[in-house]
Amino acid sequence: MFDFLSSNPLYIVLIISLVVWGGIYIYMARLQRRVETLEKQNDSQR
Amino acid sequence: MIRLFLGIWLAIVTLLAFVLPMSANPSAWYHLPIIPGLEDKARILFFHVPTAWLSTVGFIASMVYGIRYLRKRDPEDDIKSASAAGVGFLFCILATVTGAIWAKFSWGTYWNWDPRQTSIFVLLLIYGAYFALRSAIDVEEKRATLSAAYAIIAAVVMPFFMFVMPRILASLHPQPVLNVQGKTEMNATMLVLLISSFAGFTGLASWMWNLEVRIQRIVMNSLSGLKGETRV
Repeated sequence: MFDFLSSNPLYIVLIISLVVWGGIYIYMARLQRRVETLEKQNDSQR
Repeated sequence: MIRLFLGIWLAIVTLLAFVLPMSANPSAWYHLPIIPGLEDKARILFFHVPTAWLSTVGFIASMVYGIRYLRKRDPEDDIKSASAAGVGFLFCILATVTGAIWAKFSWGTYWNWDPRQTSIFVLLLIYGAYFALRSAIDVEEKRATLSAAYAIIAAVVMPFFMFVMPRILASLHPQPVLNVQGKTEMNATMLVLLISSFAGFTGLASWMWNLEVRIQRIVMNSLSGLKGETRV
C-alpha cells in the first residue's frame, strides 16, 4: 500500500480530498441537527 | 436523505476525478483526454471551476435578495442576501486558493498577479468591504438598506472582474473548458463529470446557504425576543 502510494502521489491527493470532504460533511450534518434543535426550542418558547 | 445522497454524490465525483485515466487518444468511455500542457493537473477543473462559478451564483443571489429587501423591507431578505454573499465569498476564497496551488505547479509560483489572480483579488476586496460595512453599522434597518445597495453595486461590477477583465488582458490562465474560438475541448466523460461536479457543489452551496439563513433567523429572533419585539 505504502509503495503503491509512493509511486502514485495522485492517490494520496485523492485520499486527502475524501477525508476533507468526509470531515466537512460530518460537520455540516451535526450543524444541521443543532439548528433543528434550536428551531424547535425557539418554536416551543413562542 | 437528500443530504446523504449529496455526500455520496460528491465523494463519487471526487473519486472519479482522480481515478479515471487520462489518454492522448481516448478510446474507452472512461478515458479523459489529455489537455496539452496541463496533463494530470487538469483534474483541478472538477473542483476549481465549480467553486469559481458558485461564487458568481452567490454574489448574484445576494444582489437579487438585496433588490427584494429594498422593495419589500423584509428582514428575511436581508438575511438571505447576506448569507448568499457569505457563501459566495467562501467559494471565491476556495477558487483563489485552489487556483494558487495549481499555479505553483504550472507556473512555478503561487501568485504572479496574472489578470485572473488580480481580478479575483479585487473581487475578494470588494466583498470583504461588504462584510466590513455590515459589521460597522449597529442599526438593523440602516445596515440592511446600505448592505443591500452595496450588494447590488458589487454584483453589477462583479462580471467585469470575473469574466471581462481576464479575457481582454493577456493571461496565462488556461481555457480548457472553452478555448478562444468557443469550441469545447472536453470529451463526453469529462463533460459529464464536470456537470456532476457542478451539481454536487451547487447542492453543497445551497445546503450551506440554507443553514446560514436558519442560524441568522434564530439569532434575529433571539435578539428581537430580548428587545420584546415581534418575531419573524
